[in-house]
Amino acid sequence: MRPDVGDILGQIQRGLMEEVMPEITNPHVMERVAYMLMMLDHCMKRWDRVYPALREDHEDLQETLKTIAAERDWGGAGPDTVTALREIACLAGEALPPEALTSSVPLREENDRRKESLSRLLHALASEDLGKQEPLRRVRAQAGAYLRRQIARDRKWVQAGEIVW
Amino acid sequence: MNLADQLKAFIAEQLAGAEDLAIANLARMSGGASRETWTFDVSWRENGRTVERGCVLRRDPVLSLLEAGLTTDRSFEFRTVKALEDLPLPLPRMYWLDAEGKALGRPSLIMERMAGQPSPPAFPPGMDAAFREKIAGQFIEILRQVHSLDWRARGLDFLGVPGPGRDAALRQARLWKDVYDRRRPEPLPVIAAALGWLEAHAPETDRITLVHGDFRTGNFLFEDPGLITAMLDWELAHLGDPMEDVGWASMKFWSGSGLVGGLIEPEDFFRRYEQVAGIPVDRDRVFFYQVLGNVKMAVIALSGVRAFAEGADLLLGLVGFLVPRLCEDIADQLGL
Repeated sequence: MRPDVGDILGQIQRGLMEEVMPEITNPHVMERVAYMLMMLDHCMKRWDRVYPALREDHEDLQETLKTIAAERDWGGAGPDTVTALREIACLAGEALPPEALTSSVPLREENDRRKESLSRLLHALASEDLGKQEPLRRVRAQAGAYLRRQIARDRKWVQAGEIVW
Repeated sequence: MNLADQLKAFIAEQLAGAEDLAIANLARMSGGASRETWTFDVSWRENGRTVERGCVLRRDPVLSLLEAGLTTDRSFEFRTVKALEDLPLPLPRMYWLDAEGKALGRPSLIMERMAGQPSPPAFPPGMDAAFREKIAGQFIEILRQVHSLDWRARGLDFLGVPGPGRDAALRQARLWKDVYDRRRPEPLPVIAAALGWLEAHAPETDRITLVHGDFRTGNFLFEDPGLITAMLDWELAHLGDPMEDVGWASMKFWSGSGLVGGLIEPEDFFRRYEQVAGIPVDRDRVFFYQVLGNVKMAVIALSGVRAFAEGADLLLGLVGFLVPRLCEDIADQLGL
């Protein structure tokens, strides 16, 4: 249905640039409008990519959890690590709820739930002596590889709006 | 009452006997993601003569990049800088404090407006070598003064004195974990991994000094040809390991063309700091504080995204775009 989100964002951007900006004399307000334009630019480039991007992250995350769950030799791992690995084993077998199959907000919540578990695992692994535990080293490597891919995706996602600090 | 009237009433209250008090040229300054920053002039008559001061107001926003009360406190910043006023440091004089925001709406401090232009986060490549050298020399000298002052004699104990051993490092690691746990808008496993690493690798500290907490290019004013006129942004000052400032200043995140702040090679920075300050640079501790620095900056940015989602300044949303780069630096540091 038109106007779609892209049409609307484009017109807001045009209005701000051509009608609002030339009338502004206060530098602080001018700066705020410049931020709005940067955000609009980001939204215009991304709005129709939100669900596929979350879905791509979900597939990658779920594969990672499955690989981690396949490691069965937890002998010697500390209690926090064992708890986190059990949690991940459960999540690895979970299917997405129907609402997350079509909508980005519930899908993001599902991804966040899995990332919370992965966070607990990585936090616990930091206290483990990985030199003596080959399976846990493999688990950390799997989680690390996922993080690298996720960070690369996130960097690409924010590319248009990355600011200098 | 508008802000100009609030300022007039507040300053009049601080200056018993002042007559004809006037506020002029009040304008909001650009930037200032953690605090609202305003510039104004104040004048009054006192004992038959006119006094004029150029001022800067730093006021807590409704929602901040740094969660007010958790990590920063206007009165801490005010008292810290005030305690250093007699040192030959380029510092603004602290004039008045409204710690609870009763007069100015939100917690605020008013300080001297200093000459100079804001430094960039990193000076760009191609800057004149003599200029870079001058700025780098002063940058290191200021750091020496901060780290060598007698904080007990200056009454800075109120910042919280870390215990011996690993306490200074652990305090900072736990502080930023606490902010992350309370304010993250989403879970970031790489931050969790780093927080676990920091807890497990917190180093012992052999000396406790005043730590600026945000010591870097971008937080000072300068004038041509290469004079630092003011070291600013003391809101994260605390007592701790001097290597924390060394690590923060030399983070890759602030580097330009691989140089610390676009000014000086990291190893040169460490060597010259050692020579000037007489404090050995422990590379392992610096590395720890560089990891902590990336986590701290990422947590500050995430806290800003949370504040943005709750209705704060637009800039805070854009600050969130810095997080992936910081996460990448952390993943590199942890060998993930």
